[in-house]
Amino acid sequence: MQLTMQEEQKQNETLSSLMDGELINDKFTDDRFLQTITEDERLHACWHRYHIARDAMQGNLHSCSLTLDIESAVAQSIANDNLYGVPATDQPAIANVEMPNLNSLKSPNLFWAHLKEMAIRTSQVGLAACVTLAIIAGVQYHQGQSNDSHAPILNTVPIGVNVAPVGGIAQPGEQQPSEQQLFEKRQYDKIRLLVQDYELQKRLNTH
Amino acid sequence: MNLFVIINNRLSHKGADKNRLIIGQRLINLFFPPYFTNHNRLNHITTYQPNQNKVAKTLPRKQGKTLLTLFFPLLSLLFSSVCLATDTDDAINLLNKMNNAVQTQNYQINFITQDKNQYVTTFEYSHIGATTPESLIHRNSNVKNNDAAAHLLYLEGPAKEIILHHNITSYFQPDSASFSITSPRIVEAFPDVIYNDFKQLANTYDFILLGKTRTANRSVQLIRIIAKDKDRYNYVVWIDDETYLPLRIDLIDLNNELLQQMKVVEFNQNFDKKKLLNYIDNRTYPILLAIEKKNNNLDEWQLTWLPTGFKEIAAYNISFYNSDIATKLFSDGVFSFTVNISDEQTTPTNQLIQQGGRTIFSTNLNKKNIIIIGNLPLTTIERIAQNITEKSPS
Repeated sequence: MQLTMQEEQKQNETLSSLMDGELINDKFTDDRFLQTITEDERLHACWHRYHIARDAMQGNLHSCSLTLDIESAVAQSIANDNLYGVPATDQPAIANVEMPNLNSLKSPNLFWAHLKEMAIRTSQVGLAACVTLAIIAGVQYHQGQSNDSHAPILNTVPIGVNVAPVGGIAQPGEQQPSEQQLFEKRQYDKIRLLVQDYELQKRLNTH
Repeated sequence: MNLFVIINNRLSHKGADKNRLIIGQRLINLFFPPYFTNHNRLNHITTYQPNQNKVAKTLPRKQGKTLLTLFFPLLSLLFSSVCLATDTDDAINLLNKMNNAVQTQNYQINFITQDKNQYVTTFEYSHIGATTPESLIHRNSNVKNNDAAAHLLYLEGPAKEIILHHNITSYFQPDSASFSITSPRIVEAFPDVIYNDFKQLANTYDFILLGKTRTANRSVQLIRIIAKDKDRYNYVVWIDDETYLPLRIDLIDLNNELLQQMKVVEFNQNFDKKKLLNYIDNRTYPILLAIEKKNNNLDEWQLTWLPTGFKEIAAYNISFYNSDIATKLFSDGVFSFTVNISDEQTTPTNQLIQQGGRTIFSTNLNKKNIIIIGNLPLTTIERIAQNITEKSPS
């Protein structure tokens, strides 16, 4: 059915009115128009465009609405592409799959296998800081050949109490230590770390 | 006899070999006059005494007599050295039996340790020489595949435990992080000196039998382990007559002052081994700290002087405040020390901490800071530090 320009114009106006809920009160005309819409692809597309235009004007437009035909595009893509890159026939047959040999996993002592998994691979560089071995009690600096009257006073640790791990940061809430105090703390930390390391090395290198 | 050896040894430190031998003979004659010497010989020795040069001068004139005067001293010299050798051999045998006993026997001991000017610490130590019969066979064939199990418990304060199992030593510490390391023995129980082949130490150390006494209600033999040079402290070890286990170990400085003591107060061979093994097998062990060896940059530095017998055992870096400290460990089997070289210099230049047998010495050299930590006298450690030189770039 070939429509004239004027007829098409009229159909569009009716469609627009339909969208706005302003249908003509002639029941017969309405029914016939609805029938026309469902059958006419041109009116389908028109209907779609009108809706997008209205959403855009009201600020409700979603970006995906603009890719007008997503469904068909995706369907096309799936049909053409090999999404897995492997032909489905390359899957190994179940019978050919090698099962892990449970017996070979069983070490004489399961616990040890477990422990070895848990082992931390530390480089020598950081190991001394991981352990607390030596009790450093009553550490005091002996003033050497220096005239410096300000002898570093270091905290002494009660007997039987292990010192905290090396390299700790100043406790929150403490007053901001001076540059000199920081330097002394670093010296003290260094010596403590090295004593830890000495004790550790003695144990690791027993003959 | 023992007294003679001690005196002889003391003298050997003074270095004058000639004098030592002469006085040694005198002592021999003092102690064994009637059985081993005749009157004549004693006389000869007294006439010989004044000066060797004099003997040389008189040689052409009175040949007969002079030959005699030379012959007898030589004979007694031979005798004295034979005595010395047997005594040293006895001591070495006893010490080696001790080394073996500590590692292979089953025993439970309660002991105390004390550092100079510190409080006593109390321990219970249980040791099972072989957890399986096979490991005993291994040990007898001298394969170093130690399968011993051991348990050390701190009896005071937090119940700290150290467990040795399958060559791994685990530290359970209620007041800090627990961990495991690969180590074939619990160093906290007996000091390194116990675990040695004493024949190999004989070049560096003298072993002197001091006699018998009693400790922990047991009969023991005393042996002094003393370095031939004056670079090291010395040990006196009390060895059980029956089991050969060490029941007391004293670390003594060069002024004969006690620095550290380990003393067994109770000794038990009939403890519940099954219960202990069960306990060890069913513990959940803390994480094992394994080490990836890394090269260090201490190779730019060399120690031009080391006390005799010391060897480099390990070399590595330690991370500290975003910088590396280059470290090397040295040991002679009895004593050990680390040399640590870093960039940040300290003020004051020289610092010293001494705790029991441990000396910590810090000094600055060529814009670097050197810290040496070890169980050596300060003079030795200072000498090591003074002899560290930077290798010239080749």
